Amino acid sequence: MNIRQGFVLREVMGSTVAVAIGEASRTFHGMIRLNSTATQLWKWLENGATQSTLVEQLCAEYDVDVDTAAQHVDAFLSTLRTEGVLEE
Amino acid sequence: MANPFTIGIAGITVELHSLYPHAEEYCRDYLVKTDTPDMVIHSSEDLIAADRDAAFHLSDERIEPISLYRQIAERLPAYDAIVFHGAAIEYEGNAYLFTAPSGTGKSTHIRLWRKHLGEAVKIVNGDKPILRLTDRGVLVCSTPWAGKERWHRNCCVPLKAICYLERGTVDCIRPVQPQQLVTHFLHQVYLPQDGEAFDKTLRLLNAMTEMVDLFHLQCTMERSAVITAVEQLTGKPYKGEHI
Repeated sequence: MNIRQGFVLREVMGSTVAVAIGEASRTFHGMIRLNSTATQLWKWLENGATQSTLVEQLCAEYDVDVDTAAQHVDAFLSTLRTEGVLEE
Repeated sequence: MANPFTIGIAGITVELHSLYPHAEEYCRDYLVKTDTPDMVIHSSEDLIAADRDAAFHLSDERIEPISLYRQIAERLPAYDAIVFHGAAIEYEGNAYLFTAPSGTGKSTHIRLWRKHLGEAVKIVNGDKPILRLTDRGVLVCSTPWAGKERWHRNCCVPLKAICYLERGTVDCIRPVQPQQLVTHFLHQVYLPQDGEAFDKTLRLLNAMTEMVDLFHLQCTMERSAVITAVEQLTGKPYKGEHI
């Protein structure tokens, strides 16, 4: 899985947001505000990842158990899917 | 093709080459003469067509000003300026910008200010002013693009506060941090197609929102909303008609 072409992270007004630039902005008019966990997941996803590698990395980085990590990852991926930002 | 004409907005001169004569009439309060305009914009059928979807009920001649402003907006970040959707007024030397999705009640709220504070309240622009970052702070500048009421006055005024408006059952205004308004503001600022201009717009938005006061105003459409807003936004006691 990957982040679809044309979506980037930007620091805006004290928050991290994912926005569409160029061609992608013609169809995607929203932006997604990301908290620190989501920002980290996004960055890992930019380099290509699977649901399980994201869960693994989250566990390693944040010292959480697998179930909690999986919940965060699934919620995150679900949002990206809904917004049409995920490339599977 | 109509003759080219030049306008002065936000201290920037723009030479406009329109296809139809209506555009010059639309901009009549901002006409200037210069041999060396900062920007030169050429209208085209393709560019007008690109804006036709959102304005299908208008003729191409009436759509053209929208298309021209979009081209201007694309280039403004190079001049440390952005187009921001909101209604701006001037009161006692400072400008206050009210922003919210269309239909929320910005115009109604501003009419209340005008009604209760009288001529001390002057319109700057009712729909799409330009915000320009200067070494003296943020200026809010009017343009011919002023919404259906065509509320505008050719001027640039120092911006003191931006107020995000939401309808509510009570009148309540509170100062807020930029993070609390980022989603709202990203829907109200013009975001250029060009990558560099896009990034510059975000940087300008960051800088500007650090330099002005930010408020969230929940309000009824009643007169009481005005006192609440005025005292917090201006930092001074309400001097209007006693309610």
